[in-house]
Amino acid sequence: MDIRGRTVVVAGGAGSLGSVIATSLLARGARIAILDTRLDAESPPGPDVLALQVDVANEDAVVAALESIVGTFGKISALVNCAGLIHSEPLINITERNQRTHRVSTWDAIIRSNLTSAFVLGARVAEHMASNRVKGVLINFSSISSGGNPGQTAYSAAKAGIEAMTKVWSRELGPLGIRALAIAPGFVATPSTSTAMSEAALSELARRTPLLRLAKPSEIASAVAFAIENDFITGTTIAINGGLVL
Amino acid sequence: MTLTDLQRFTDLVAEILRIPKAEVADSLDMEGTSTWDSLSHMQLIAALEEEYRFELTADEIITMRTVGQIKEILRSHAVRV
Repeated sequence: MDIRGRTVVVAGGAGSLGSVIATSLLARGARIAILDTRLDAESPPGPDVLALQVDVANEDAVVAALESIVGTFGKISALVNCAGLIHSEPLINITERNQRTHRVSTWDAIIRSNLTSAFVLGARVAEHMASNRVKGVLINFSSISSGGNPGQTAYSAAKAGIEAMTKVWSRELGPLGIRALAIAPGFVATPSTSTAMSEAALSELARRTPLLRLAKPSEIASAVAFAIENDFITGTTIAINGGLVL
Repeated sequence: MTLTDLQRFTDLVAEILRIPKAEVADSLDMEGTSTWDSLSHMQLIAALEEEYRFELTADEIITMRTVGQIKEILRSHAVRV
């Protein structure tokens, strides 16, 4: 698929990674619809950008946002589902006096922001593509943590769910020419990564990575462009992790 | 109508819906056929488009709920079934 002139929805497109992806696709000639719970100066401005403040786990809000996007730019050719939150919390912490297990509230919040949001938006965009006979692509964001990162029960479970869901979509939607794949970054040098993990932990991860560093956001953005442009890739996960295995 | 076209269509429907060819009648419908669900419907659409080299519209896809309706739509695209 030629990216030029295509409408691409980037969920989480105002975030530290999503904004780099949105800017990269914009530079390649796409029209970008950014959906995010917060919109700030990181959102690229311009006539080919539509930025909407939306909670993509909220189905009614998603329906309204998609109507607005289609009304502004026309049919949607690609979805990049990179909304979500990184969260670290141990399953048990026996040194705590009160809260000695992973909180259910944070489990719910992380599953909702990383998995439910991708499901809600992906289902609606898939329905739009099928109804309009668009041979588009749905790109979900997994993570190296899908393999089970100690201290990230909810986040790892959500990302493993993303990979399974993506495989299902590729099989269900493939006959209509709609592709679905996941991108699983390793640890990326972004403010959200620094917020969720300590400096010492990130330094240790960089040391264990064969390429001895974290990923640059632009290296993830180039994988998104590849996923859109290559018409025969579907049902798989592209790992971009510098060779790190958890 | 040629027998060959109709036979090919019947083979295709029977294969995707996993039913005997003898059951592929105009009255066969989605509601009454357990193997004709939304997934097999999409496979049917893809197979018809591949076989007859045209793209069905969204309205046609929604309308295609019986074998007779599929045939009518195919005939409107000059397919002789």
